[in-house]
Amino acid sequence: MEQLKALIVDESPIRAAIIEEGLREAGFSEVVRLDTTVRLIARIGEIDPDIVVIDLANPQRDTLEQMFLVSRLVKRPITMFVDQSDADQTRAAIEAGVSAYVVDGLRRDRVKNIVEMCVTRFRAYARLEGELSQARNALEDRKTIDRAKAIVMKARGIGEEEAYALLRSTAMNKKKRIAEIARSIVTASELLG
Amino acid sequence: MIDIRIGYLPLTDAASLIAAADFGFAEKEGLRIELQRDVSWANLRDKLIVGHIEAAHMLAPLAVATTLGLGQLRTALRAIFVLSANGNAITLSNALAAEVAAVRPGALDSYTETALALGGVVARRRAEGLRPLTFAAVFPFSSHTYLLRRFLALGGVDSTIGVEIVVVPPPYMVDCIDKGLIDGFCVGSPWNSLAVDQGRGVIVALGSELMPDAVEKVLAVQAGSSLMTGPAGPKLVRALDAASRFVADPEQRLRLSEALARPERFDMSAEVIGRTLSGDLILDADGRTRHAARFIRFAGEGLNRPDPATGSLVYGEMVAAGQVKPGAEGAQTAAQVFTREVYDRSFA
Repeated sequence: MEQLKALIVDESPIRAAIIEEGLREAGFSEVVRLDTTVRLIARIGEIDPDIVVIDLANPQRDTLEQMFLVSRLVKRPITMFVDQSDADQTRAAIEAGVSAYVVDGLRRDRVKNIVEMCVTRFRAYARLEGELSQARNALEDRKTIDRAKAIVMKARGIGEEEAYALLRSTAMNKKKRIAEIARSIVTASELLG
Repeated sequence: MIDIRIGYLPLTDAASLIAAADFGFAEKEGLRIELQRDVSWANLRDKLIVGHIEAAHMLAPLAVATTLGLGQLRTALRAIFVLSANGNAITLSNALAAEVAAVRPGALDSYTETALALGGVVARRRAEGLRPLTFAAVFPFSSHTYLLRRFLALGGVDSTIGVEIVVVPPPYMVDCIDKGLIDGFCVGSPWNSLAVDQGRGVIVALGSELMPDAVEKVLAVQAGSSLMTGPAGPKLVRALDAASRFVADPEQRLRLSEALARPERFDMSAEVIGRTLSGDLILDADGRTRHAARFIRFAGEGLNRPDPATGSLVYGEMVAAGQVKPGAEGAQTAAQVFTREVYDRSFA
């Protein structure tokens, strides 16, 4: 079987690992990951990949374009975007935030599958990240509400349940989230000492 | 209100776009501009092509290259407004600047002197079998690539033999110099000044010296875009026209540089941006200065009106750089990119 080499340029080590796994499943025997900005120039010639997957938030895309266009260091590749018959896939890739450059010679259907895999995994990662940050925010809110509750209990000399009920009814009256009310109480208390 | 999404890179020459959106010029024309900051020219091009944005801040040569299909995909683009002329500079690493300065006194006093001395350095390095010098531009199809070639040629250096030209995104230029991967670069404002401020390089030549009045950035749209035929195009051109005059007005520099410096725009120092707007440049860590009144231009002398001649000049540079096989058809296509249609309709 042919030896296929892939290069992943991604600042996020977790996402890079997810993509690496997908590429290995797709039959790439060698997968190199680069996260640092500078080493790309020095390394790409040595690696000589068949496919490069790069996240769109990475400015190094411009460097890759040059290498593929005129550099003698790299074999002459093409990109996904050449195939404009598949505009939907291109659009999906851009929306997911991924770009893949493929060396001429890989079979079309194969390339299509690889890009689909990248798009799916980029999306899954974005979802994961969204869920994580939601969980983090929820935790933050919880802490703020606890602090606000303590402030109200002390200021009014009331119990925990009563303090929470007061926060909740204020939030309902003002059509705000309890966490927002709690934040203003914490801020006010910091200001007033 | 008509909504228009426009992509840009954080560079001084995006000032007219920012001003149109942030100082009310678009609103006055009934437009709501949503500006999207991006990180690479390749991204801007692709987003424009798949319709994620309706217009893009673009290197003039990239608009031509995309139309010719030189990069990855062939899509006809049109430059409907010229955003700027010049604004670039060439910076050498401290080590290379010292090597050039040692050739003879005054080697850093003017760009021609520097080019001649640099030619000597390149020749000596070759004779001694040292590694060839590496210079970076920001994109293959860019005035930066052509400026570097021209600058090196002044000193008798063939940029295809004596040196290596690579592409490095502006935010990484300084890092690459630090690690010894590049010895100099050509980039737009304010990146040269940022490198000087960090004590990492010496500005030795200005784009306005090497290629006076060269068109730098344009507003690019798809040839089939409704901005070419509908009412939104002329509105956008009029908004940009007013914004460009505002940007070119020395009285507005302080306000403007502060607006550009904001975190949601460039997220850089307002002082450095102001320096590049005025053309009062600091060249090195010792504080040597050079003033160039035409260092960067945004309006006046008919600059904003696209001229097919610009496409021809860009095409000529591409041929000279070996980026395109010369041909009459390509030459015509390149000239067509710079269309006056929308501009002239805007002021009819």
